[in-house]
Amino acid sequence: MCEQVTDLLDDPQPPQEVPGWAADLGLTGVGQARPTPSDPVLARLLPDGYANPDEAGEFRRLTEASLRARKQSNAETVRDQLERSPVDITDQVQAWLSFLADCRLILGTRLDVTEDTSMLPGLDPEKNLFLYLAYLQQSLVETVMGE
Amino acid sequence: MSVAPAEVESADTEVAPSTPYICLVWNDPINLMSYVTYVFMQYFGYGREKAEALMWDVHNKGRAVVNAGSREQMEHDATAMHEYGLWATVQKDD
Repeated sequence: MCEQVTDLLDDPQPPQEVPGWAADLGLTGVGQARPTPSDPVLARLLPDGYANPDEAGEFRRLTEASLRARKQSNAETVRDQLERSPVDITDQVQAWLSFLADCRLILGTRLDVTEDTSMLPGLDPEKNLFLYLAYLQQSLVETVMGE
Repeated sequence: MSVAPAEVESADTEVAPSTPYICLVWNDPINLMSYVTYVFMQYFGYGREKAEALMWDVHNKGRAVVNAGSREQMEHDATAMHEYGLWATVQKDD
């Protein structure tokens, strides 16, 4: 899943390069205005911030690149931790929870999950993974909330 | 009986006198209710009761106002919600 998330979120329009002096000040290029992604999965991971399309486009122009980067960073954090043994995620709980949420959004959108969708495992491996990740995420949330 | 000028500080957020923008979180069929509650507690610092109440509003009414403030603040909040995988939008409070 980690690789799927990072590949999906690879930015096709990276922010423009900024001159050295701007980079030193922590300024980053903000890229071009862009529309809502046509891929429903991407659209759910990178949703519109305004109902009005012009405002949404402007908001997206300013924020999409860093949102993509943050989600990729979460996926990489999880992947790196999984490669270590033993896995201790105490310091990265938020990254894990956000990453699990993103995974479930990807799978859930692909599976066309609705409020009426049955939550029982069956023969579809993608659905089973979706349900399993729900169980994982639920367990992790309950643990950090001290339940 | 005279009334002293009221300076009320809300228990949870400090809100400027004019709060023209709001951040809404929308219901979705994927995110777990427990996770949504966690996000509200974690990011906004709301107590369990308030976070759960907001979560139920999102679930039952389709959306809930999770914060109010300047446009910049609300955009920051909406982006944070998107980082958590929730869906949020910003609009004028009217």
